[in-house]
Amino acid sequence: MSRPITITNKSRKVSAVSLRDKPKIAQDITWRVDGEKDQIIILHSPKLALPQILNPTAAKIFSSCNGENTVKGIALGLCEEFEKDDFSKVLADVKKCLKYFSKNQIIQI
Amino acid sequence: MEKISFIAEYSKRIAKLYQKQVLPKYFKAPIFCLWELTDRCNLSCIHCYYNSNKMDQSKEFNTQEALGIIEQLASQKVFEVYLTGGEFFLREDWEVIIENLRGHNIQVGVITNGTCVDRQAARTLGRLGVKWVQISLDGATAPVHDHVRGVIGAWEKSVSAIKYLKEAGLRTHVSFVPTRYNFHEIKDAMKLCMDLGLEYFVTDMLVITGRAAINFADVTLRPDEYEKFHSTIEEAAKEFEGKLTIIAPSREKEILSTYVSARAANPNIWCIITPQASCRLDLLLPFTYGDLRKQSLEYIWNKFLRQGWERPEAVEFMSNLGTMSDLAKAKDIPYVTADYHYQ
Repeated sequence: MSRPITITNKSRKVSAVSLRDKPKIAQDITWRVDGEKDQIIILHSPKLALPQILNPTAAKIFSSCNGENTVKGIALGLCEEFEKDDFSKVLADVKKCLKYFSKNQIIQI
Repeated sequence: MEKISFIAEYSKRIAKLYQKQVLPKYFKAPIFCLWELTDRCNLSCIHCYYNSNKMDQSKEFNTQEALGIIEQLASQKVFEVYLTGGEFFLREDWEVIIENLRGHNIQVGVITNGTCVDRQAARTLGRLGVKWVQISLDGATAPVHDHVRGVIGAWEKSVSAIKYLKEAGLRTHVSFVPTRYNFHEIKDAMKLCMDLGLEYFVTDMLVITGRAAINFADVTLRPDEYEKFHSTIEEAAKEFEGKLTIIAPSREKEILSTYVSARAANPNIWCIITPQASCRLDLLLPFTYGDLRKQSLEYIWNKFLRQGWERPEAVEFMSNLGTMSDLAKAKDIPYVTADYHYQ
């Protein structure tokens, strides 16, 4: 079996994500909406070794990062869209996703 | 040591996600393109997958047409384009092509034999923001490399190119293709790369298309030689751990189905653009599709390529092959016999 290839940058310290943060897509990111139902996003930047493919939930979170929506707002939006009651769980997932984006310099917080 | 190529690894990951239904049935456009910019080459390598200097060069796209293709790549939001040939630097407009790709924020990788890369060219590549450069180096010594590459003095120039590229701050790696003439030098070639300050060393099994198929009996490794090749790599990987990342083929890869299953997994992520402006699904297949002078990339991708490995001609061609070596005996050999063209 082959070892996985690291496709992201070397680890970067990322500060905690707070509810009031308003994440914004980094300037050098290029992306496109893809899939037969426009359900995913593929993105890339000079800092990434290879393009990243976001699943439908991650794509929603990414496209909500317009510098105006707060982290709380993004989580509430997802709860509404996917009809989820457990806000704290959704919020935890959103934070985890944003942390990943931030670590890979996909968004600025 | 990484056992398979970046693209194959990437395809494999995508296939896994596809099976879990995380990914769509197809992508709307390629994520990567390999762009064969010219048939011309200043070397005559015994193992050239491409079989350069054989086509009617008047049929190659001109600068204006190349810029039109770049517009299409940009409008389809293709993320990365890998420029190759023949020898990419023999195109007089290489700088214009890179400049335009970068102007559209497309990441560019350059695959070259390095013989045309002087200090000035290296600086230009750096200025244009090329992401990486791959230099073909098929020996640790000039006699072996020059024999494989068919021109005396080639090794000297390729090694100088690596130095110039490093000097210009470009991410550079070496690609070493094993043949009977050079596989015994692979470990020394890795040492040379470390001495030159490179981080990556890429080797893969010989692709039996083009001149490698024509010279098959002379160039391909016998089973015992493949065994030696693999064990040398494994030995080197231990010895050079932490100093050099070695990207090498797995032992199973000679079985074509293994190779293809990694590479040909749905959804397709890439295509090849030929110097005649048509597209290929893969260099292992003797088929070309569409004409970018008259048709859009969007049309060619959607009609032929996005689920291209399910096309009957691709399925039939692959079903007749068991191992990579069978390509040399096939009725139609990619880059040797005339391609079947679909439009």
